Amino acid sequence: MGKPEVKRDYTLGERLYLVEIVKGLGITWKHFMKNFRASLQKGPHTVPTCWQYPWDKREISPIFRGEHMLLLDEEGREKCVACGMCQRVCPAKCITIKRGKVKEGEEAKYAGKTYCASFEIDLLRCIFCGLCEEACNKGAIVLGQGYELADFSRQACVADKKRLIGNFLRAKEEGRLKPKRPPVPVAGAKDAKAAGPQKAKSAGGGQGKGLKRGV
Amino acid sequence: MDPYFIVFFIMALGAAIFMITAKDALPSALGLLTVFIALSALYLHLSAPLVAIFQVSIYAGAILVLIVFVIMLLTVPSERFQLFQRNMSYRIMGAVLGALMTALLAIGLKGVKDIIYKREIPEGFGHPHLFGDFLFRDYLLHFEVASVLLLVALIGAIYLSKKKA
Amino acid sequence: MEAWGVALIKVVFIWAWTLIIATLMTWVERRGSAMIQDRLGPNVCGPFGILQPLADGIKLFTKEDIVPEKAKKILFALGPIMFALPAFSAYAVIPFGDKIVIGGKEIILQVADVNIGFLYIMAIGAMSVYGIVVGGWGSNNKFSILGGLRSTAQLISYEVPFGLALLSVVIIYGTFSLREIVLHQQGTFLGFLPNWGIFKQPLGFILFIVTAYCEANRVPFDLPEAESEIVAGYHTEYGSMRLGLYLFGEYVNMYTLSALMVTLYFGGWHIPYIDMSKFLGPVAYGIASFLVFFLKTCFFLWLFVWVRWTVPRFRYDQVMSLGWKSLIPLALLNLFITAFLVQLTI
Repeated sequence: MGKPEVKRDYTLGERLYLVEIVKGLGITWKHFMKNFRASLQKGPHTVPTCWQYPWDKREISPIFRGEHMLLLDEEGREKCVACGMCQRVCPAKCITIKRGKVKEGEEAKYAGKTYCASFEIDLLRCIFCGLCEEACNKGAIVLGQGYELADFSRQACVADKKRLIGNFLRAKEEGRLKPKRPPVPVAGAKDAKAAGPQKAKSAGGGQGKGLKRGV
Repeated sequence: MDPYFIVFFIMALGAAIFMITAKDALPSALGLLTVFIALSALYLHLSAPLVAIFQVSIYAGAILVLIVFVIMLLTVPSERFQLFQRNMSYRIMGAVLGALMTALLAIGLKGVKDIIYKREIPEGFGHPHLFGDFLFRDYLLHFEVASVLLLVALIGAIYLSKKKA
Repeated sequence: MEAWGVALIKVVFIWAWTLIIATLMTWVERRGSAMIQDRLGPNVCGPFGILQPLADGIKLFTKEDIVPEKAKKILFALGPIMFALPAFSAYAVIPFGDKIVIGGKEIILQVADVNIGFLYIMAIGAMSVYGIVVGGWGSNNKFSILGGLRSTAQLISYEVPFGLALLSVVIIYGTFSLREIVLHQQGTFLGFLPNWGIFKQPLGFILFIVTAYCEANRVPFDLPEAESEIVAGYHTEYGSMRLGLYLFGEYVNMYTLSALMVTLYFGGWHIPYIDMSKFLGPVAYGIASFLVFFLKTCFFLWLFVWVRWTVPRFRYDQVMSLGWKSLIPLALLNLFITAFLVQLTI
């Protein structure tokens, strides 16, 4: 294939270039006046092609993987039993858990027999992959829709349990919780369970309770 | 010897010494720039504003820019003037010529007292009008010969830089 | 001694004024260029972002000053100073208004009315090349040196049509002094046009505006600081207030060139057809002439920003061929035509 032929016969007006500059100035003037008038109006989204961030935010998809949330069940008890699965599966090793046994009088707060005395996620290390959400047996940790995570110091970016439960309560109020999705049926999954553990590894998909024998 | 002259004299002298003793090419050129500016200020002090402006715009603004251009094209920032003249006969010749030049300058300075004295500056001295009058009436031939000389230099430069076809 | 005091006050006023204008120009550039590009500029600091230059200034002052390890320290430090200083001092011969009477004394609104007028500006403009060259060389960075080289070549090539266009102005008015050139632009020309320079020298004005854009290193001639080609050209390695000096020097250069355009071609402080001194008091006349000059300069400053986002950047060989093969012959033609017409009318 040879080079494409570009016609370079310019008219005198085009070669002079001044005429073209003046025409260009007209176009940019039209844009300028349009946006100038838009900037004088009150209200956030006045310029149609420009999203002004803190006032106009884009809609986030419901399965967006943002800041984590620690869930409470319907009676308000913490679901997390501090099994440590999320800590083990995390590729960035950003979760730190300290387990504690549930004492006698505190059964109303916790769903299981053990609870997490401290649950810290270092948001600066987290890669938001969602493996902790997939690994959790109880469905206690879920990735929510928070993406404004910048802060002024490293310590402020370590999310502790209070912040994570706070995320959940706020999301519940605003109705931004993910609906539970049924696990995706995988062809041959039932046979794989019957055949033995080797084939189970090739049956991917599903989330939450679907993946038992993981990595 | 008023303070204006002394200030710019020291500036010119210091910059000239810096220029010939600098080891890097570009600071040496900047020293030359300072010399030109000091000279221009001295011209201004002698009521010759047009000559001062010519000095800055032609010498410092065009010629020196071309010199700096050549320095930038042909050298790297880390290159230094490191050559030391090893040839004995060259060094002796250089010393003799330098001494002769200094002697010439001293003799010239001795006679300078005859031409320096306070005098009245005529009206409109250094004004561009007068300059134009001189150049195009009294010294027209000199002006035209100088322009032909420049033309010859230009043609020579173009010819020398053309590639052999 | 009084003359020294008055001159000093004028110098300080001009220096402060150009600094303020340069600061405001950063805001105008950001907001104006944003609106041309279908977005809004800074609108958070203060109404319409008017305090944004203050925030920028504070940021530039408080940033860490990084000097590259292998850079030549003295040249690196000298570059921005050598660029900004001529920019500020070139404004000294521009008449930014007519006389004003303060305390019984008539003061002309011009720092120095020298009889060599705009030759001074040409000489000083040639000096600003050194700031770019020294900054580029001192950074010890190939892109910076490239930027410095390109700028040098471009600036000295375009000084010739700059001078030739100005020479035609001298032929018409017979004087170098800028104040006298403005004084000659009173009244009307051919009966109905204002006696401004642009009607007498249309080709000269086009030449002048093109070469002025080149002298200011602004698009379409901003190869030395081409943002997408050679990182940032000669000011790649500069941060904090050194970069601030480079950017400020550029804006002050723009301001001086716009003021020069207004002085030579647009009548300085004159309003067409109306002679303000007839019905305004002396102090009010001085202030009014200053404001008229300033408004006209503002239009040209806006034109700098406007053209920046309209015309794409020229390639290096296009810049050179435009300068040597198109502008110099046109400037010479303009000179001949002007000289011929002046000879016919005298």
